[in-house]
Amino acid sequence: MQTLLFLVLALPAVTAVLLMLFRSSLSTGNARWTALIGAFATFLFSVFLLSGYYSRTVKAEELELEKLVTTQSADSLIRPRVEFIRPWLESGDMQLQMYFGLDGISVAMIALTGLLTVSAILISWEAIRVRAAEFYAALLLLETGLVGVFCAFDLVLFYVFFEMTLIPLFFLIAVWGGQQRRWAAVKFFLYTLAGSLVTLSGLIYLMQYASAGGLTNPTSLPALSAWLSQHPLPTELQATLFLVVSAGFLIKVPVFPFHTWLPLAHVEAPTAGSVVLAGVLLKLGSYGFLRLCLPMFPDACLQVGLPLIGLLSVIGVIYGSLCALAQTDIKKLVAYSSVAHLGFCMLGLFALNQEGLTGSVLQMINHGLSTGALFIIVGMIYERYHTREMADLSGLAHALPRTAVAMVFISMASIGLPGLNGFVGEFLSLAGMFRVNPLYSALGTTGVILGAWYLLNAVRLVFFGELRVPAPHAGDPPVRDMNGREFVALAPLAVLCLWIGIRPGPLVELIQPDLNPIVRSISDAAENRNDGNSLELQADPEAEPSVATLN
Amino acid sequence: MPAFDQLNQAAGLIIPEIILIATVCIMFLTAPFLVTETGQASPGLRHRWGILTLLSIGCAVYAWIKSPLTDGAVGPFEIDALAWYVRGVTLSTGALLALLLWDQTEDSIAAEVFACLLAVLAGVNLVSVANDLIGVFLGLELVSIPTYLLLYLGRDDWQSREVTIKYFLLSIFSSALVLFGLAWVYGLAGSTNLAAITQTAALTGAANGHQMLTVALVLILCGISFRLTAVPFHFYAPDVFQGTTPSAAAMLSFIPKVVGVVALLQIFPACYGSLQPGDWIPTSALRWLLAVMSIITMTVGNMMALRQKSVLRLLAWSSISHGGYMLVGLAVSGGAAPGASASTGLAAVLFYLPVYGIMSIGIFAALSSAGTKLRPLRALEDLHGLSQIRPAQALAMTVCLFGMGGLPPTGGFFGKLNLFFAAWKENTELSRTLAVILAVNAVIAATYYLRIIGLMYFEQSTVSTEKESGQIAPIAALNSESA
Repeated sequence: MQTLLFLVLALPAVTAVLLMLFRSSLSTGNARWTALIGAFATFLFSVFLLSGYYSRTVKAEELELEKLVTTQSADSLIRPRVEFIRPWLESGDMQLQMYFGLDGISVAMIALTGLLTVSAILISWEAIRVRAAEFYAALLLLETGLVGVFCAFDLVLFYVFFEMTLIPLFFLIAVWGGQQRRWAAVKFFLYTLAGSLVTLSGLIYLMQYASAGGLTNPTSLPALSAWLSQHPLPTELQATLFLVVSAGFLIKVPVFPFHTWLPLAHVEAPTAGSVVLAGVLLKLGSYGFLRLCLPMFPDACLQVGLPLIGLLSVIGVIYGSLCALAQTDIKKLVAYSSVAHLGFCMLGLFALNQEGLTGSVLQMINHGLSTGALFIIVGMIYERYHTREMADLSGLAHALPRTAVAMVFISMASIGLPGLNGFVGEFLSLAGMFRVNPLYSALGTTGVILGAWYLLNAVRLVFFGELRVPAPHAGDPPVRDMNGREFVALAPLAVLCLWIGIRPGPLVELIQPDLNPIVRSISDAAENRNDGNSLELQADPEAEPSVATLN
Repeated sequence: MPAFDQLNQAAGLIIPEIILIATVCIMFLTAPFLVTETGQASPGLRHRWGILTLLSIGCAVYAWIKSPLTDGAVGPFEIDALAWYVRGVTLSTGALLALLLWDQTEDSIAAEVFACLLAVLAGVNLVSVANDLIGVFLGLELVSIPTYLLLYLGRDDWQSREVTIKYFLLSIFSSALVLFGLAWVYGLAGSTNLAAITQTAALTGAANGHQMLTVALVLILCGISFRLTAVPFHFYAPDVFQGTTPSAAAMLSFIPKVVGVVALLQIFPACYGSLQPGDWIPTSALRWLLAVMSIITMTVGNMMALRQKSVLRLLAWSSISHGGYMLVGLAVSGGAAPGASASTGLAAVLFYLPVYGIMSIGIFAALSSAGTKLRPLRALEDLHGLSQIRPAQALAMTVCLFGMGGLPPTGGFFGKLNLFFAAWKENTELSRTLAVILAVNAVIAATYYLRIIGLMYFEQSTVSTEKESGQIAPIAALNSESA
């Protein structure tokens, strides 16, 4: 397993380096084949990783077989089942580890990354003609960064990969993007960098706090979370740190007032960039919340996260949907729909219960599949007609019947039609939220209706009615419907959309065991808090309510 | 003959420096005979001088590795851990600088240029091994004086003359300040030996705010701030960087910073009665002074860099802001938090120095090898489309620029991370403020580093892309991925 993990991590980077080294001697065709082979092998390995992990943990637990041994104590909330630890860097009091690991959530996200990268390469096949080798190298480097974030269990390592993803995407947008690409790239870069630095300062404060409190390896995520569950932070400090650490993730997700970089970046990015950006990169934010904020700051999540971020997510859902409704550019519409869908994801996350968290993780994966596919289709339309204005396009179903079928199917998945994947995630998220805050949940539900409105509207305008397309440029090849390559890029996403919709069971089994400890710790924190409030009337409020007596 | 033995013993401690200085003497003495009266030299002469330089640095490295640590020695020289480390840093970056100067100098002046470089390296090392105020000062001067020559030798026009004079006058002024401060220290302690000063300070408790000591240390700090390009002693930097060659600017961006930090670490702890820099806890007044200076330096450096139109000026301001980052480390070097080792800030600075050096030298190397004699890269517009004309240089420069901006996975990230970590660890209001300002500055700095990268990759070149027979400096070695 460790070898496989290492391959998944290293293979894209190695391919990227090869592409960069031989970029002058590689033709466009060779470059894309090399990139495709590298990405496809990575994807294959990630599937092996997923199936290996599934059979060794989920199945093993069902059959009460011997579980995988880890070095983590049982009270850690973060328990990677597969580990690879090497000392990395020691300077002063800081001891960093090369700590890679896998748990259910990360293995699922890694497989998603592998799949979307293959699709992204396939969809750039014809579109990228200029400096192709460098384009694919950047894309593969981005993949390594993303995989790295998902399997890093050392805080600094996590941050290193988190930041590393900025560089290739910056180049992807700024070199191969649209008209305003430079401004979009710079805005994206600076905005997210600023947020990440705030996060970093919070994390360093936390590590410093833990190491002053006697923890020897404060950068190790499982050790830190175990230590924090034994020595909970004071409530006010927890709330402050929660907000500081959240800053980078709020921007990355993006949650409502911090979303302004996203539509710009999406519109200007090349199709492959958009696919990976929407499909995986945005999830780094919600993954960060799940991996760091929830286990480390349970009280703060309840007191600050639920009311504040919950509210912002509701606003994000409604605001994003309304913005999507107002767009005339179809790519911008999909970009704003991302803001809305990530709002659902955050709603589920900050419901802080079993249903909500499960729904949120499912929503992360579903949004990756369906929005990735939507961006692919938008890219296909743009490649054929050189416009994304809905006013210029109409009745494409006559010209591109297969594309129209795909678009309708993916739209349904994205809207959340029961039987398709979107429904499962959104339903669980909203159901989870309903248990803690019915108002947020009810308001969030309007987003589903608005979602149906703007997507169906777009489908109606663009694909149905009279056929009307802009006049072709001189020298353009005749417009063809979806070809085999595009079919290969889209089909797996569509199949997964259907499969998760019908049978979410295995996926839930995969992620559930890793969510349970987090849910438990937060419900403990909630009980403690209620208990503490009632105690305050009679006893010293400073007294720490102990967990043991409550059970 | 005890005197002779003593001398012999002392000389045994500075073998690397002796090697370097001996080579300098040989070069200065023989070079005039290899050049005709009209100043012509046989073509290719610089290769021989370059090889001699590298050979000399190689021997110095060998001697450095073999040199024993003599902690707590009372003689004129002492090789403590700091000296050992600094020697390694200077010698290895010195080799890089020699490679960088290699093709940027003419045959006729190559000997002088390389000799100046070696003298500068010897000076830095002397400052680090000196156990005596006079030794420290001599080392500082041994760095400054060849620098004037280096600045002037590279280019022969009025601009170069102007900056040399400017640097010369200001440098003399700063040396005078340092010397004056050292004199005050001597007056207080009654000795110029650092070990003796340490003892006196520890015995009398001079650290506890003797007025004379305050004056002395402020004078020294002012003088040394000139080397660190700390605001408000930075005014010369943009002009000098712009007026000289990129290779000289590379030297100037790094070596004075090393020597400044090392001189501070030699003098200040002794005045507070700490044998090792690691034991030194600055008084809160000094810490405030350093912190305020670092905040101003970082912010002014980055703000001014944002509005520059010349690459070299921009890099000069960026170098100023990096001086500010180093001051952060010095300002948080005292461990106020219980259980924290006092030297975290110092360790961070000492890590930052070589990382910064490699990145900075790398950028200047890329610049000087991408430009030509006829068309040097000066304005930011000259960088337009560099990735198409000179892809290797543009790539190397991009890596170094990302490092300067502190982005993973470059060494620059770990440098900043250490500083950041040290500042949080100190856990005082002041240090936390410093950490936050450091983070804000990192974002501001990222803006203009990105702008340079953007110019190289996203703009179309303004000149025709004809192949010029440019020289490729060995920048591949300067990759800043040290982690």
